[in-house]
Amino acid sequence: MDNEKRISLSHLDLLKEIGTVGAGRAATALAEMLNCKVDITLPETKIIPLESLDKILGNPEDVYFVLDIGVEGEIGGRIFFLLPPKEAKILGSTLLGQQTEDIDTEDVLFQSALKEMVNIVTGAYMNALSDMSGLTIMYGIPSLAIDMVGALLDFLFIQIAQHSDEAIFIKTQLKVKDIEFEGFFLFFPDIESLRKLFEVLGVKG
Amino acid sequence: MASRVLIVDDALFMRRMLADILKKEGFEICGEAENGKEAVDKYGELKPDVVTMDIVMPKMEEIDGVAAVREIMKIDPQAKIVIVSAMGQHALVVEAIQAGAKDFIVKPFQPSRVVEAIRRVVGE
Repeated sequence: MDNEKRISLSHLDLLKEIGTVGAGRAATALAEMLNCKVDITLPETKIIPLESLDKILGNPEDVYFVLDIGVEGEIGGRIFFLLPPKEAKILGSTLLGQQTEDIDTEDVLFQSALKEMVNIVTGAYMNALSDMSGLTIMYGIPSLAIDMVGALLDFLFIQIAQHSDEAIFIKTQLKVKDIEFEGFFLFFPDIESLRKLFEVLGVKG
Repeated sequence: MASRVLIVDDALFMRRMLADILKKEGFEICGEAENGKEAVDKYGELKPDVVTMDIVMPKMEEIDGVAAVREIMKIDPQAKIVIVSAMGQHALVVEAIQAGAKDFIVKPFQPSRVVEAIRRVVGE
C-alpha cells in the first residue's frame, strides 16, 4: 500500500468519533421504532488486513441474515448488518407486534420490516455523518440474504481488494431489551471517500 | 368527507404502518405505490388529496422520490405532497421542498407528527 493511502492514528480517532456519533443516532432511531431500550457498545474501529477479516467475523459456517446497503453520493462505501436468525426474529416480531415464535422468516412483511429497520438505522447514521462533514451522502435500498459468513467474506474480499489491501472496519454491537445482540453493524467506507472526509474535517495524517 | 391519501414507499412494512396510523385518524387510503413511476401514474389516476412520499426507492424510468414530486407537480401544481424518509440531510430536504413538497418528516417518526403534517397540508 502506498503512503498516500495510509491511515494515521489521528484518522483512526476521527473514525471512532464518527462511529460513536453515528451509532448513537442509529440507536436512538432503533429505540424509537422498537419502542424499547436500545444500548450500544462503543464502536470498535480498526484497520485490518483483508486476509484477517475472517478472524473478526467468526466461524465462516455461521448463518446470518445479511442486510446490505450501498453508500453513494459524496461518500462511497458499503454497510452490512449481520443478524443471527434468533435476533432477526426478535427484532422483526417487535416491529410487527407479534410473538417471536410466530415469525416465519420467509414472510414478505417480516422481511420488509427488517429491511425498513436497516434503512432507518442507516439513515440515522448517515445523517449524523452528513451533519458532521457537510457532505451529502446517499444510500441505496437494502437487500436481504440469509447466508453463511464465509459467503459474505468472499464478497467483501472481491469488493474491497479492488481498491486496497486493508479495510477500515467500524463495528457496533447492540443491546436490545437488555439482550446482548450477536449481530454487527459494519461500515466499510472506501479509501477515496475517507480521504475526502478527512480533508473536510481538517484532519492531517 | 375523509381526505384521500396515496401512500408511496417501497417497503410494504412502512406502507402498512402509515396506512394503519392514517386510517385510525379517519383518512381514506385511496392507493399505494412502491416506486416513483407508479406514484406518478397513480396520482393521475386517483387524484388523491395528499401524498406521502419516500425518497429512496427503486428507480423506475429514472424516477426516484424527488423526481416523482417534480412529475406530480407538473400534473397538478396544487398537489400536496409530504416526504416521509429516513434520509434527513439538509441538502435533500431543501431539494425536496424546492421540488414542491409541503413538509418533510424524517423516519422514525411519532404517529402524531405524520397526522399533524397531513392535516395541516390538507387544511383540516
